[in-house]
Amino acid sequence: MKGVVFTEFLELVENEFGLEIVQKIIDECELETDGVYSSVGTYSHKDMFKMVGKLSEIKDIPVPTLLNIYGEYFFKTLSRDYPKFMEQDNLFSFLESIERYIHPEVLKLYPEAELPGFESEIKSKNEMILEYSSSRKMADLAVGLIKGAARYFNEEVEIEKVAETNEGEKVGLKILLI
Amino acid sequence: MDIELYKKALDREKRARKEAESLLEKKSLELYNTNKQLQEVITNTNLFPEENPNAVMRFSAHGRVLMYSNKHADAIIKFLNRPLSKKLKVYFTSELGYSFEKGVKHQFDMQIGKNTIRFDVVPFQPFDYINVYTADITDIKATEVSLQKLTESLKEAQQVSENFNKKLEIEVTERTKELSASEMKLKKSLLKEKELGELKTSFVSTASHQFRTPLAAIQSNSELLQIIAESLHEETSKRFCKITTRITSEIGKMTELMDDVLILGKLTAGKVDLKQQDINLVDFCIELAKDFNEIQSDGRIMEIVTNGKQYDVKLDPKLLTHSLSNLFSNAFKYSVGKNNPELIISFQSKEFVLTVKDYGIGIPKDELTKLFQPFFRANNVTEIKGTGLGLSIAKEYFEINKGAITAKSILGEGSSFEIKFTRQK
Repeated sequence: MKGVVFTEFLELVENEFGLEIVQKIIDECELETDGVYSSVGTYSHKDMFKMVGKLSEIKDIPVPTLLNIYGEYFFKTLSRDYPKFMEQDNLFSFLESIERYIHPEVLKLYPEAELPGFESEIKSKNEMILEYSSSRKMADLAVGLIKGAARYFNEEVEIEKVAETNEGEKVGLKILLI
Repeated sequence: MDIELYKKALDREKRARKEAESLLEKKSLELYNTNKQLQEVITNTNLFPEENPNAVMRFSAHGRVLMYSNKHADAIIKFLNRPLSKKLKVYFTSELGYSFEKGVKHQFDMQIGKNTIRFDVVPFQPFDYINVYTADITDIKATEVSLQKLTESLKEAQQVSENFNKKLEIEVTERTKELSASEMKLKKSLLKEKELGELKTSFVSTASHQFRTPLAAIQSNSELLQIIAESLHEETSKRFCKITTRITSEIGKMTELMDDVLILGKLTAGKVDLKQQDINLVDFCIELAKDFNEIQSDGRIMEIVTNGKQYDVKLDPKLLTHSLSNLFSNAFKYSVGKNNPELIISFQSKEFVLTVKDYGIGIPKDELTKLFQPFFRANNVTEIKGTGLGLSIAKEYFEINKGAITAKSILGEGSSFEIKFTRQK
């Protein structure tokens, strides 16, 4: 997993809950790099799970909720750092472009990157189905990112999980524009 | 407490920064190496068209601007840019434009100075340029032209040959017709000849028989006169005798002549058969010579000489007698008062030769060829008796016996008659 995911997470935790919580998380999770993350580096996604899990434990917030929040926040970072990927007309066309354009471009820069699959199908002007697939099973983060994207495009959405296989390896998401 | 936290956070930042820096260095090195490789590839790639022995060029879309050309293309570019080549340049550009618009490869030939160049135009639409590859086909063109000329010559030659053949066929057909006609004519002539021959033979035979009857009558009457004359006065009797003797002699001549004519007629009509036997030629000739030797009043004889190993020969004895007799008779007749005539019998491996030689009056040179013609007598024998048929009959007899006779002579010195026979095994 790209370092930026870790650095942004810790920044969010620092901003929302303060440095002590950050330190506590680092101290109490056995992290491979002892909490040292560079945004251009690559680290084990297991460490990410550990940190999210620890935060959930400390703050008594369910993990999915944490991931949702983080996803929304993380989208802002991404949209800021990669303006070229934001040249779409609306949310749906943007979501479509993830699988078709964005991820292939990412792979050009970072050939070793492991990216989730986002197969999309636009059902109507207001409805779209997006199928998330990844061995890391972080569909909740995806939901957060989608929410973030909606906000960027000034849209309001309702996201519903309509299918799930292999404990979250494949998740079907129904996105409704409201 | 706070300070500790910040210290730790700072420390983490530092370490993260260092990590980022080393990653950056790594990436820079990678980039540098990749760049280097790329440069090499570019250089090599650039060299590639330069190494092409033919001209290659790259033009912008529609062939408007020359983007690249290798050194071999310089000559072509120069040529196309001459003021004289304006039309050619327009044509060239239009060919490129056509290829680009249609998005298809296109080929055309053009004369650049003394050479014929083949242009292969390959458009690359996604990249908006046109590649032009060339080949010098001057030699190929020359060969093409020669080939065409050759083909034309060949066609012409074929035509001539065909015409000639047709003519030949016509000629052959005509000739065949002619030949058939000639054949027909010949057959007819032959038939006629045969008819004439037979007519002649029957005529000759009839005539001579008819002549004999009155001759016989004359002879017997002459003999009667002879008898009556014996009872007359001696003077008158002598005179009568002279006359009757002359009559008898003339009748004799006539009879001889008619016999000869009859024989010749039979011979020329092919009515004399060959009956060959094995003969001892030397004995045969000796016997024949004896008959002649006995009747020579001056005592001359036919001298016989033989040479070569003797063998028996196959000849018709009757015909041989007739023909040799004629020669012997002539030999004695035309050499009165001269040396003995000679008969030379020569036996050789494949032929045997009889030569009758005399040392008499000889035969004039220009008359040798006519000697064997019927009724022919040389101009120097008017004093000597003869029918003029003897040699022609002898020649026929010899030829039936499969011999060939030739005559040689020197006027005033003598003559020799040579008969060659092929030895029959």
